[in-house]
Amino acid sequence: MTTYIRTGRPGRRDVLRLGLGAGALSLTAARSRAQTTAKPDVVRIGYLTAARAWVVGKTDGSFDKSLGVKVEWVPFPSGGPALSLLAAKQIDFAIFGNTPIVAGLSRKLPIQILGSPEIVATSERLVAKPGITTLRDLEGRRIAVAPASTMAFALEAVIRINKLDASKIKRLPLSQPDTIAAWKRGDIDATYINGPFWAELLADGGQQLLVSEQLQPSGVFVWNSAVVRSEFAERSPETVVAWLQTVQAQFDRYRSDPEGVSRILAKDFGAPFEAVRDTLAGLRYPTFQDQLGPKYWGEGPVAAKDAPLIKALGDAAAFLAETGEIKRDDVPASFVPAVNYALLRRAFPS
Amino acid sequence: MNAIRRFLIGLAAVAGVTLAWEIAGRTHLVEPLLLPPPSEIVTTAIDLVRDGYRGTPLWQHLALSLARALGAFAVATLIGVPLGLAMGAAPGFGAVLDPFVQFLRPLPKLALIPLVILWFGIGETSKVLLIFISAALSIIVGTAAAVATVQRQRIRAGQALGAHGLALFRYVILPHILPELFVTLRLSFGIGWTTLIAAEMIASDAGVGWMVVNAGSYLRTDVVMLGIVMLGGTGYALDLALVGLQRWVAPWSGRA
Repeated sequence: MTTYIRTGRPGRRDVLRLGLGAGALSLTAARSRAQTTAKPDVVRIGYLTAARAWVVGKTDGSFDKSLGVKVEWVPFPSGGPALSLLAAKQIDFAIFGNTPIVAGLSRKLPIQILGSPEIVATSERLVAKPGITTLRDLEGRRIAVAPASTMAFALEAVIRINKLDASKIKRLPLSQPDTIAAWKRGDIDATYINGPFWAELLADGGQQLLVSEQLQPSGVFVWNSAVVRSEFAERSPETVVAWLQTVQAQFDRYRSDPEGVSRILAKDFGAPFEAVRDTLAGLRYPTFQDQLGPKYWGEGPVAAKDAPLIKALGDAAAFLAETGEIKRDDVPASFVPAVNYALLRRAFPS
Repeated sequence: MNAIRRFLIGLAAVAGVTLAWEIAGRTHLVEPLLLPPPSEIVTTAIDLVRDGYRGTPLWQHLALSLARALGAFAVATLIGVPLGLAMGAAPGFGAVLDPFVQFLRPLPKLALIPLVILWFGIGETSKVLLIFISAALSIIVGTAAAVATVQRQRIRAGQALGAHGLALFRYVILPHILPELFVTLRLSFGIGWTTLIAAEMIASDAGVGWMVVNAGSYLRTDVVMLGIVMLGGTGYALDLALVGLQRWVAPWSGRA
């Protein structure tokens, strides 16, 4: 093998190339400034690599049609990578968990929240090995949970609400497929896990101790929010409105035909039909109209102060700051400005 | 160019890049969220030294990662070098092992994680094993190749002068392969060190590799950059240590 190494000073050609690069950069900047009001050339939608009802719109081009532009679908495995994609301006829209969204907002990631079309109810469950029947039994045990997930947040809430001794519970950060392996080997005693994974554990004799919905009376909500990059929302508000309405249309379609939508998604994601059906059934789907009310986000920015989900965002931020994931000084004083009520109202007038 | 001059030029280059980086961050030429300026990384470093990261002091994260990597590397050297020597010296034995080694060596170690968890669980064994595998395989291949470069005339000359077995190895083969062995060890340590991130993705709650991955999922780019600086700096320092060891053990390196 031979390697040719170029030595010496940078030639005239290199300098020229550098200049060209800089010129191209400034050109791009000028172009993006000129496009302030124009329709985007392409809309990039990020989605979780797990079946979600609204993603049925990917399979039949609903979004391409209603937005009137080319749509690109960008998958991400969990909320963390979704934040990176948004920060790198690789996606414009996404729907993912409230915990990573809070982390992103604290890092001043320029994104806006567009409601909460998916509320976790029974899709995330705390499952333990046979013999562990009460939450108190979890003390002195090892619990696996996917790192930086809504489940990790919910598990801490379970410990806090039930006044369990946190120092006696060993939390093991494990991805969900790895959790199954660790369970089979007997390396863990319990796990807070998403569907369809819990189905396998329950079939293996696992005991279900809790589903996330049971935490709601204590003010603990876990949900997925729709988000848009702020820059995109400012430049193309009409596209955001159309996108929101299209998302709602997909959830309406799911509500009227859960089996049919599950079947299409099972095929698209290459997952077993029953698993997809049961996972989707584990989420609640309030309409955007419902979300803009006292049970979720409040009717508008003024009424939002005491809205449960605004409060829940604050709680999630406090939790993340306490565990040291985000800096306490970075937490915004209020999450109300992070929600784009104006565009939500434009898409769904009262 | 003498050593001091080289060092000073290198230092000036680092200082220049750091300054440009800081200016780019301050003037918002580059979004601080995407690339936090050095001053923010320093502030984060001070915070983490004081408060730790996720309940573990910063030095413990580094100590744990070092223990995992150095432990794995030590075992990899103890097993890999003799095995490589045997493969190089006995072509028949080499031919038996070679397909397995060559199959495993280029394999992305991330792909092994599910199996390692199934077979060895989620404890320290799995993490150290993953680093061990990647380092040991390169050591084996490098050592075997080094032995193969010993010229037959030298061995014949040694034999003619009455050297056999251990003496032949000690006075003819070893001096020849030592410089190359050190290059192999340096490269293998680098490979093992890069596997640290993969290893610490297995059910960890401490270690610099884990810190980088975890902070990344919360968009804590300042902690990510700090972790990268720590990983890079430590890797660099350990490589310098190996070079120092080489100068001491095999001072004839590069002058053959």
